[in-house]
Order: sequence, then C-alpha cells, then structure tokens
Amino acid sequence: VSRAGGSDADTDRADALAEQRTTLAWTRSGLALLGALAVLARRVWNDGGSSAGFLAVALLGAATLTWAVGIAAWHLRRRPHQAEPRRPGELLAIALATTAVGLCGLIVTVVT
Amino acid sequence: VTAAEEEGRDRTGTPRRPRLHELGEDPDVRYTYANERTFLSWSRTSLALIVTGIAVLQLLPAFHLTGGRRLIGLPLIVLGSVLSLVSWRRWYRNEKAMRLGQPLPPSELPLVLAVGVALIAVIAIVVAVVGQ
Repeated sequence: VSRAGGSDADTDRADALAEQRTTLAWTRSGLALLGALAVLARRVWNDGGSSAGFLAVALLGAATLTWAVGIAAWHLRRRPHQAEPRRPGELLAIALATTAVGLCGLIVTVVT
Repeated sequence: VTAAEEEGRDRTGTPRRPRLHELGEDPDVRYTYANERTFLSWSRTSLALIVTGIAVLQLLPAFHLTGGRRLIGLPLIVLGSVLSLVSWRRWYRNEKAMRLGQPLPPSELPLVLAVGVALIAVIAIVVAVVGQ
C-alpha cells in the first residue's frame, strides 16, 4: 500500500478524518434526497394524490438505498480501526437510483 | 472458486476481466475516500439537476409558449440522469488508475455539465422572452 507522507499517527488521523468527511458526504446525499421528497410529498398532499406520488416513491427508495449503503451496510461490514471504502457495486447502485429518479420524472411528464 | 477462475478464466476458457480489487495494489485509502466523495458530489449535482427539472415541469405556472416548461425541464432531467451514470464511470476509472499507479484519466464531466447548463439557460431565456 502506497502512503502519502507523515508519521504513523499522522496517517491514522488523516485516514480517520477522510473517513468522517466521506460519511458526512453520504449523509448529505441522503438528506438531499429526503429534502426533494419533502417538496414532492407536500405537492402530493395538496393534490390529493397524483402522479407526483410515483416520483415520491422513487425518491424515497433512492434515499433509503443511500442511507443503507452509505451508513448502515458499511457499519455492519467494517472492522474496528480499519479503513473500509465502499465497493464499486454500492456506488453504482447510487448512480442507478439517481437515474431511476430521472426516469420516473420523464415517465410522469409523458403520462401527464 | 474453480481452478480456471483462479487463473483468471471463466468456464468457457476465455480470459475473465479482472475485478477492480484484483488490479494493481491498494492505493492510500485517503485517495479512495476522496474519489468516493467526488462521486457523491457529482451524484448530488445530478440529483439537483433532475429535481430542478421536475420542479419546472410540476410546479411552475405554464408559459404562454406551448411546451415551454418541457423545453426547460426535460433537458435538465436528461442531463442529470446521464451525469449520474457517467460520474460512476469516472469514479471507476480514477480508482483503476490509482491502483495501477497511473495518472488520473482526463474527465469530460465538467465540460458536459458546463455546456449542458449553458444550453438549458439559453433555452430558458428564449422561452421566457418568446412566452411573455
């Protein structure tokens, strides 16, 4: 494993901080999805249920996946005091979930 | 794991494409985390584009120009959807390059985003002016 310079203690601290920043980034991603969901849920509520509900479900699914992958699944997998980056498939799941939200948006536009 | 798979071949005997974690050596994990955060930033940018597109379609009052909202909203959603997939590919290529000790590959993502947003802005201006 190639390491950027510094003593062992420096390296451990830098790794731990990088890991925290990354977990915060996952948290922001989940919150961004939930924020979008809140806006749509309000619209669905006002309309008494409409095609926006379809989008709301897509957003909720993507948000849940983001939290599950970014925080829960990763916590279950990681061992103490050892770095554990996410795996390619987990990041691909997020990319596909984001695309699914876009597709639902397109479908709702065509239908309504 | 069969002997053929050990040698990097699948059951038909053709060479199997190596998995990411089998290539090169583990890079400094801080770089892996930085790459992951960059991907997440791109995915949030994609989401912002998609949600903005949906908001244009669902929440804006109609323009006097027929299809005006769609002209603005649909490209936003398409751009966001494409970006989310391309950003994963970029993450993968960066990770691969770091594992193999190669320089990071050049990225087309910022250009695609900048040109896409600029084009949509032009469309929005035209729709706003014509649809008055």
